[in-house]
Amino acid sequence: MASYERRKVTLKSSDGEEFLVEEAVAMESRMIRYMIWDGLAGDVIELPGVKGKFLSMIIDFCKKRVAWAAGGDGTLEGLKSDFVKVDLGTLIHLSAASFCLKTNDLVDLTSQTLANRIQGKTIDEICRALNPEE
Amino acid sequence: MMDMLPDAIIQQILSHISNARDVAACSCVSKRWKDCVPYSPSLYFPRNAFHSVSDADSTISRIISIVVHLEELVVYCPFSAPSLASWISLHNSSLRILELRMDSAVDKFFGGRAEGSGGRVDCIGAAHNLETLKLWGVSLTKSPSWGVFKRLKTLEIIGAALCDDALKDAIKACPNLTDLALLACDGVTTVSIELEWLERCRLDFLGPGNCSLSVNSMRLQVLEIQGFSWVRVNKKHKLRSLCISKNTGRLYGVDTGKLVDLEHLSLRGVQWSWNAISSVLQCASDVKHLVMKIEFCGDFETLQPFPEIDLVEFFNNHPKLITLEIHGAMFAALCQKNSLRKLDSSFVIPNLEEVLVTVRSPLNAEQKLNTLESLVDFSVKLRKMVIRISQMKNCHETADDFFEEICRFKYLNNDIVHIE
Repeated sequence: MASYERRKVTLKSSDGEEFLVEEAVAMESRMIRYMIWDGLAGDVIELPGVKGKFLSMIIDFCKKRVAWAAGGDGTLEGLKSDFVKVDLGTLIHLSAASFCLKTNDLVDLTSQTLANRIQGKTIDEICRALNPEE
Repeated sequence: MMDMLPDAIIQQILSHISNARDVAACSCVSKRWKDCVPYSPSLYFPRNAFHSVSDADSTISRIISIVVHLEELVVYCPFSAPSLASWISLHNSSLRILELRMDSAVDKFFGGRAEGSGGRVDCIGAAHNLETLKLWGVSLTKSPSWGVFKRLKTLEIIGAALCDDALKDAIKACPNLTDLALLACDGVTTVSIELEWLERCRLDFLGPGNCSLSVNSMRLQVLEIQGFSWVRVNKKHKLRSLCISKNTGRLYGVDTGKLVDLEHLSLRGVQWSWNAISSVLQCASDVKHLVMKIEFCGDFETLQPFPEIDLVEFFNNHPKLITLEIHGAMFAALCQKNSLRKLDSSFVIPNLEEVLVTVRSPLNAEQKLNTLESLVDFSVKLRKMVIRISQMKNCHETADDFFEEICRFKYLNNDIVHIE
């Protein structure tokens, strides 16, 4: 176990940004985990479905979660609520990115948060909220 | 931007939305969202969702017919009974949770509350995989023809008109219940519960009549009841918490066997037979948290005051007491024995940490104060004593003296005693 914890891997976003992360953090994404286990991953893993801005936020969350699990401060609830303290547009991108990376609990978290934000709104309000650029 | 979200995420979002108004709104957002609505697992129709019963019937039917795998259905708005039957039959295998306000259910054919409407709940029997069933305002005066709900763990019936046989048959249909609640119900005289897996039971029956209860459930941990004059609990149980109340009328007898695991005990009511009180207290010798709020005793119409309760004997018989709440007449009865004068020097109240006392009358002030002082003196772990003085008639001159004495007592024991 100890050997792979310290190994690092580079994740490359759709817009060319590169992130060097510990393998343990990268494996929080099921998609990356299975790629590594199947020996299909090189030193650089390309993620064409995820933009750098959002990949960085997800990597950040995963780093914090790995640190928390190893006995760090704070609560998982706190980490999760900080993650979703973003505007609706960003939340939609994060949800789609989590789905792509198969970080399932982020998928649950973002979809629950989106559901909470939609509840009680009229059809128009929902459409406007889900299409902020229009 | 909306189109970024894959179908799986839209379905997940919808699975967190159950209010039917929101579901309906989402189904109008776009075709993709509309196509995902069928995957909603739960629907909730609030009280004022529709303007009329026929409106409700048609809209609910429409939404329910497009959902593919409905697991949870909650309907608080008025609906008609025949519609309910069709909704349940559409999802009879997938429904796990069902909650219905039946008091607003209207029988389409008779235009009003049908007589002996066991028929209205019969259709629920089709949902054979139900795990939780909650019915409000149902009229269960005829045995429902339910078959057996093998998976039903939780049954709650609130505000129902019942009758002995109908209730018995309803419970027989749910042999694997772990949680049973029958609240604000009336119409029964004898309730007999035999459920092997029952762990928590709350029963609240209205009216001053003489209702009797018999419970035989060896896994029972929590029992909270109100409204019974005779209570019998088969001695094979695991009761940790027992609350017995009788808000109107009289409680004559309680038979529970030794309450070995009991930690919480609450006895409340207007009038209990003294035998009932003393037998429960005797069986609950290991109790840790005790609340006693009974106003009178006596076995007949006449309301009697309590006989004297020896303070030393009481605490010796309940050595594990950590918190004690005792009101009015019962507290007064705790004071009156003379054994306070001849206390054994080794007497100690070992575990008592918190006491709440309610005093109603200024009579026998000296004895009451002696008791309060003894509680403070002999309780080695006492952290907090709250004295509530309520409804004291001020025209009595002794009331002023009593207040003065209580305040002096508080002053002497400032860190422990509080007055409300």
